[in-house]
Amino acid sequence: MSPAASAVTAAVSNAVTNPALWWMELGRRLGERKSKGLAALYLGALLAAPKLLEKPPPHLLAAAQSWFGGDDPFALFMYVWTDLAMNKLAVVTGIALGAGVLVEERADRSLVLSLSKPITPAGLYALRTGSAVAVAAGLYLITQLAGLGLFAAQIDGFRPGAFWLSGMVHVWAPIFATTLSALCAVAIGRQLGAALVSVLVLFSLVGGAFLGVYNPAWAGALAFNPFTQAVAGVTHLGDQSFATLAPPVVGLLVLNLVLVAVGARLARRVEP
Amino acid sequence: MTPIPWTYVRAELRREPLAFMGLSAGLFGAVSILATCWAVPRLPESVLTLLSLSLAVEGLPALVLVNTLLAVWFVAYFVGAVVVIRAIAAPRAENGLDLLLVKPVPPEVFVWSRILPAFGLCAAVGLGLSLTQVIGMWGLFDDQLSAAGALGAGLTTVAVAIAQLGALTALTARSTELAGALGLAIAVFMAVLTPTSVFIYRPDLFPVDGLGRALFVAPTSLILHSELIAWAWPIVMLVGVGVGALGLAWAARRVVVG
Repeated sequence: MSPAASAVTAAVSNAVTNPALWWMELGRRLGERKSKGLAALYLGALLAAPKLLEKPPPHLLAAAQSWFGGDDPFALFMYVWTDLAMNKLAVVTGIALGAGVLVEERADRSLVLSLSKPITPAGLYALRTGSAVAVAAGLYLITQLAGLGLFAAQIDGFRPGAFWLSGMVHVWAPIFATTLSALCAVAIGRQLGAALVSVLVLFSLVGGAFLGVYNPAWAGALAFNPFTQAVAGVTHLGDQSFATLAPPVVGLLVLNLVLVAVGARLARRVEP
Repeated sequence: MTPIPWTYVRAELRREPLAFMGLSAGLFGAVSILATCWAVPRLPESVLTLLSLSLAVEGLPALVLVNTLLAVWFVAYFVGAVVVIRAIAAPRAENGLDLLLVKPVPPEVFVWSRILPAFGLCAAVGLGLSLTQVIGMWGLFDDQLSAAGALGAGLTTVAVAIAQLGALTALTARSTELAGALGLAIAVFMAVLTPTSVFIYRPDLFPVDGLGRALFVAPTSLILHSELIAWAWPIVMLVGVGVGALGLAWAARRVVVG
């Protein structure tokens, strides 16, 4: 191989590990209108959640206590915050950020330009999905951090430690939604068809996140649901520990790595 | 009035793989609905009591129907929404809309012929899923909730979905980004559902009965008034299609920019 060719090969294989490229990609992501729109939605959730729980009906308080144990208003708050607000936002985030990976660039005809640079389709997929995951996780964690300050004053019996730990597990819900949407995009190849499949699958999974809590007899059969694993911080609100929370996180980490790897493999089929 | 260019309208109708989309989304919805019909009666008594108290409906058939209605509405709306977005927002995002709009076709005909397939697909999938839920619930019906009431409630949600698709068409007529249009599609769906979610946690914010209650607490009030809905659904359908048509008329005024 000639020196010129090997230099090109080195650039191709190193492009994705170049921090400057990631920095630029992240800047581009943050400048997108959908990132700003998502930030507004997360802000809305922060402001609306305490209002929603100002006068909770007694039957809900009793149910939350029987499911999750712990202090009355706090258990219900954790359930509402995680299932009503953050689970739904996780799906919306995943579809907004993930469903356009590569197919969006193809639609506005910038993909052919990107692929003329020394980067492989798999590398570009990893870059775009990676930045989407970074923004999804960043938005989630910033919201959770803001909630830590905001809710302490507004929610009776608020436990900052339990709230934060639960968020550290549940942050994998928006990450999963993003990597799955991105995988659908390159597997199906048509942005809207892929988005429809992602919407149907993700909302069905999210709807069943707590089904194993409602009927413990089904908990084993439903454990495959990534959203069920991601809400472990709430289902184990009474006994949050390394033993109850580490396995879901490890499982979700592996699942997401597999989804990104499969997506990167399929990215080669996307024609610019 | 200019005559309608039927050749063009027929060509637009053949553009989308409507049968494939309808069948695959319908199959997905049917499986979800039958699974719901199987699962809800098997939930523990305490959870059913909680559901009943939260949603202010009584009886097992009503609790099953609340959940299946959501599936009918969700699938019928989103399968239509994809066709709506592919009709105008997608070509605009791909810089191809100008080319479509230079044809000697009035904007109204352009919008109608591209969006009516979405309404039709939504209605067909919705009808199929409404029938599926009646089949899935067979044997559960009692003197409080009849099969005709369940069918009528299903078709009423389809009418709401068609009205929402009209609104979505108008709202996305000038979208330049696909992701933005998709976000609007989710927002339009959620907007109608949000009052019901709020109702579960803050029933004190809603009127105890009357028209305000019936309109805002959407799926459950359909069940409470299922005897009325059993024969009144065609009227709701006419209103839904009327609102959808208004949305299309508005979209036709917005689609040509400048």
